[in-house]
Amino acid sequence: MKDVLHIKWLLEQVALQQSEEAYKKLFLLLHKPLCQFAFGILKSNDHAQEVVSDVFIHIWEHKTKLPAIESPLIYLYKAVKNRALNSIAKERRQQALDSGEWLVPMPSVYFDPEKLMMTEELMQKLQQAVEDLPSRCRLIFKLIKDDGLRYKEVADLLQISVKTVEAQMTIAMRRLGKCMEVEVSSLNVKISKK
Amino acid sequence: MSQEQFWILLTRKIAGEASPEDLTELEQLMQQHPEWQFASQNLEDIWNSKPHVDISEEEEAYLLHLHRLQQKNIPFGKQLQPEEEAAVAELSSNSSRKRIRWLIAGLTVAASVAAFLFFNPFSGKSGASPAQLANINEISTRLGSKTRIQLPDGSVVWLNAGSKLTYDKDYNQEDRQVTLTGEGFFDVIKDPAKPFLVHTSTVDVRVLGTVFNVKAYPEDKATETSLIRGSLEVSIKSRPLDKIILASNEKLVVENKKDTVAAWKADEETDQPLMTLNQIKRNSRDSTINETQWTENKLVFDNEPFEDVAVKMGRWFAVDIEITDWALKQKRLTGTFERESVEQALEGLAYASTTPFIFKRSGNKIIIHR
Repeated sequence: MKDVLHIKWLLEQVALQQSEEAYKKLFLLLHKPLCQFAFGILKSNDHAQEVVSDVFIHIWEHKTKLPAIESPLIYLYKAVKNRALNSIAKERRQQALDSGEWLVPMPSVYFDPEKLMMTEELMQKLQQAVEDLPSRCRLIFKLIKDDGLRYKEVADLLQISVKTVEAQMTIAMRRLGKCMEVEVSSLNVKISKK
Repeated sequence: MSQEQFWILLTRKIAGEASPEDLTELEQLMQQHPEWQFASQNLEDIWNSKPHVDISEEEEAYLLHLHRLQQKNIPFGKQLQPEEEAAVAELSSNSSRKRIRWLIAGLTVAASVAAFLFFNPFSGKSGASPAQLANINEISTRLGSKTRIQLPDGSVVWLNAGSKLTYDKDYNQEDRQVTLTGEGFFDVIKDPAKPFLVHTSTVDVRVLGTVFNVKAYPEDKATETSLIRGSLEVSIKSRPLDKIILASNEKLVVENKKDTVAAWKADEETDQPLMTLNQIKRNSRDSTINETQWTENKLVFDNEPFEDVAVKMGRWFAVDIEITDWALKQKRLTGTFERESVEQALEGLAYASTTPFIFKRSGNKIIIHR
């Protein structure tokens, strides 16, 4: 997901070779995170899928222009954002423009306890900490952690400053870290009791 | 101050945004504070564990996407094969995520509105006159008690705790209509000429002669319809034209509408209830069905979050249970209780649970905490 070079290479294959194989790979790679992002704006799954599908249709139709895209990931997110906002009725658009209101579907923030040496209790604490993040903070955390966007790109996408992105990311990480500090201190207590 | 700086630098490092100077500074801070090591290692692990993607879901989405390309007459080398076309037809009629067979009834909107009004003579309380009310039979159960009723046509209904069933004097004239709040288990006598209808606030259930269970407590997250045998048709109030047909051993769960979720309000016009269609699980030991165990005076839960279990137990034992701890609320529990008191049941759960908890009772209120 984070491999921007891979995405660039796939886009090149689509542009230069008209490769349907690469087009499909690109779709499978990005469809879900883009849908989740669109869902945050539209709050409807069917609507989000339609918008993302439209963006991919646009890509196929304009494939010869693709090599000019400098950062493909941010290009796609912006395209989804613009299309999603345009598809919202005028009366509701003003409200929808506020990225503070964009939701992130929760399952996107994911921990695999099998791989991590953590207790179930700690997992639940972490999960709760992520859930409790303000929606904009969670959106930024998700875009950077799961979707692989850079600070600068998120700032550009959400039209906020890089400083704000960094501050929000730090808040998120710090809150997760706090969960584990408690774990550390309770561990120490147990050891000292012995 | 150094702690604030530590978090900024650590976040930069993990997100791949750190400069070489940042990394040097972070390293120095870490040496001064070895206690931060644990959190920072774990955060890196968390960062690197990626969400699981169900690839078959994505493949389905791609198929739908190709279908849209084709519909727009955009040249794309790969034409869909006939069997893929069939799959697309199935997917687009299903709305991919919810694998539900929609049967679009051939009714015009006007006709369905007329039918809706006709079939719901007493669903709107404000419209009912006192004279009409006098003709309504009402059976209700208190919390902690259950009852069995025989309706005029011989059909039998078990009512679970805290539930209400009403029917009017026209019952069994042209059809058989009842309104349910709470949970009921229905064994309906077969009479194809007089369909049997159960109205709830979220769904309407229409049957000819079957055995089924409807759980429609207004305070619950969802309304559940479980079909034990026969066949049955559910329509959802907010989309009266679509009908869902259940087969034996299927269970339909429809999310109850909650106005309190402010975040979803913006979407009111297109808002559609979430629903899932599941198989009814049979107990591996004796092939009993969890959904209907309550009619045999058994309180059963199978891998359900403690907060839902608490609601069930509250109704069953006529108590008010409050869980103070978030992690406990999410804890999944499995258990069957028959003759136990509420204290005995909770003691059993506390004993079996991997997360220990204690409870305190004062009067009807029970508070559970760690």
